[in-house]
Amino acid sequence: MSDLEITGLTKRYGTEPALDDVTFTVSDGELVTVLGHSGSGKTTLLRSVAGFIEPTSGDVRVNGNSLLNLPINRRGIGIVFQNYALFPHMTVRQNVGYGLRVRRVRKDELRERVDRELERVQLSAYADRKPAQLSGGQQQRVALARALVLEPSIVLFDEPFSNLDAMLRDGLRRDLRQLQRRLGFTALFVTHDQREAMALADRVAVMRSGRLVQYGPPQEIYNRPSQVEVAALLGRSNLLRCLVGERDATPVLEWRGQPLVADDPIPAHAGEVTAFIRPENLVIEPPVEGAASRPNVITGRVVSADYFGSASLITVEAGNGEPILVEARHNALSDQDISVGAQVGVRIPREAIRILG
Amino acid sequence: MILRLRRPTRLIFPVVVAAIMVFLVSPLVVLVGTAFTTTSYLTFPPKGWTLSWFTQVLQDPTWGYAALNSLVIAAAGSLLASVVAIPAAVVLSRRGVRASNTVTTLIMAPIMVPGIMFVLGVMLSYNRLDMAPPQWGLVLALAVLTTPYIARTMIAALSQLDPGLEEAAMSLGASRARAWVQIVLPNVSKSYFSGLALAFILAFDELVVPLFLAGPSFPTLPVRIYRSVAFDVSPEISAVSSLLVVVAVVVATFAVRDPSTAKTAR
Ligand SMILES: Nc1ncnc2c1ncn2[C@@H]1O[C@H](COP(=O)(O)OP(=O)(O)OP(=O)(O)O)[C@@H](O)[C@H]1O
Ligand SMILES: [Mg+2]
Repeated sequence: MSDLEITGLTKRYGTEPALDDVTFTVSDGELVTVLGHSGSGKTTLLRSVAGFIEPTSGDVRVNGNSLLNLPINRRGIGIVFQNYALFPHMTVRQNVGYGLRVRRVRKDELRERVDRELERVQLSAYADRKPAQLSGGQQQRVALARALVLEPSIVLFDEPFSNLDAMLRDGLRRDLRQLQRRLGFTALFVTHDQREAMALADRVAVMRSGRLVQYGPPQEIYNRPSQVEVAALLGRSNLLRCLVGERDATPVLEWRGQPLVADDPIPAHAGEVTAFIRPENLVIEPPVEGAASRPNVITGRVVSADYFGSASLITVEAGNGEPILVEARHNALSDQDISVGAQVGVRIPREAIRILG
Repeated sequence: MILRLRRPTRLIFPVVVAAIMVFLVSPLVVLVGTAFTTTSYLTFPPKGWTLSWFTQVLQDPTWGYAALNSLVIAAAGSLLASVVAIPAAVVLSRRGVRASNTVTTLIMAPIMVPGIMFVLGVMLSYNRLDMAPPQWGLVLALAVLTTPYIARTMIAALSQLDPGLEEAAMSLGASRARAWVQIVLPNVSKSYFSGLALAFILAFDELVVPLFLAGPSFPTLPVRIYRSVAFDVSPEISAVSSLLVVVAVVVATFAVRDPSTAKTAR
């Protein structure tokens, strides 16, 4: 059992907090990704847990015991670095065996465990090479093997795939997830790639300006962002500034003269709110006469349509002059032909609208 | 780095390089050439062709003694310099060390202070202490003079090294000391040896310091040369100097070996 518990963690450089009162718990065997823009404090968080940075205040606990007074080499936390940090003067085998050697593991056992680990990351054939003779992906796997051979209960990853090309990343990501499930270690994985963050995670911790702004499963982060910035961080979205009005004694939204009805509760006496809608939740329809006054149906003109194979990304200029982004899925059976300049209707399902403050 | 030169520059470039080469190499050619002359005075091109000056030097025990002295003090001096320079470089190459710029400048000071001033200062200090410069005082002075060269190369090498290496080793259970000995230092050893070679050559060739600080009973090679030149310039000197060039070339071959070939996975 290894719960990683982070409470009130703060790190100030001068007066500027790089990490501001961050609190969350990673449960045993869980993989949590930390997502945020550059400078949001992800690395600071990870390095505080690892022990490379001494936090200004707050605590890091594993199974209830504080790590803060433990030196780095006694924390028993595995770390996989962004630039791999393989020891250049040692072979792959020596790199992977280093932690065991430090722990004075018997020669034959060391060899056996290193071999097993190399096999696990499919690098047995490269055991006697130096790191400089390996590809980036192979180096990454050595770094992983080097951390995992010690069977740590907690492993930290600082953007480990960011130097690799997209194809390789997808494969490595799947392998890592499988390995993590099988070995059951608790993992904290820093990334600024939202696809990676969502694909890997049990839960995503979203950071902004040193603060944890949302923590939850990927679906929740994606569909119910807590704020505009979180919505923007996780892919494309429509963020419509709406006035809050009233009709039949219930609050309604008005987006530049276009009435919108939403299932999401609208906060009372909010003058203005943002309606958040993912482009793939919008539906393109044939245009309807006199739609302007009908709630949730927008009529407009297609101003751009980017075809991506499985989907098209369509920008519709609504009657009120505002652009709206629609992702239309394609399949071979039913295919709409949406060309630039066409008049179309865009239906916004009421359950697709989230109200952000 | 790839320099793309414009056409006129591309033509001038080889000329300049050639000029520098001639400027640097021609004195050496003259020097070595005069060592083979059969005359008893220096002349170039050499008249005749003999190795007798070399055999004379190699058979004269005073030359051998001086060479041995130089070897010993140069080795001791540059090793002593390492003892100071390596720990200093280890600290100064870390980021966020207070006053590191000031300390770096201080360590570099011996390069900037004229050698003669330095030696006079040392002698005056011994005077104030009311003592004659001790034997090991020579080694100490040479260590001070060569410390900057070792420190410089070590600081450069260490600050180029990925700080993640040390962190990785520590995350794998190594203590900081262990991480340094097993991981960091092996990756800068080539730079160290090139710095050491440089320091050694400088200490070996140093004239002013031993001239003032060592008694007449302890001549070093440059001092011995200097004293002979003072009263007559024979081709013997050229022969000694030629041998010195050979030694320097041998040591420099180690020094020049590109430390960047020590592959660091950055
Ligand atoms: N040693 C330091 N001294 C002063 N400020 C620092 C230091 N390290 C980090 N910071 C600041 O703290 C903030 C958070 O930095 P951090 O490296 O944690 O960001 P990050 O989320 O990892 O960004 P990236 O995605 O670019 O790696 C930044 O504003 C940075 O400028
Ligand atoms: Mg970072």
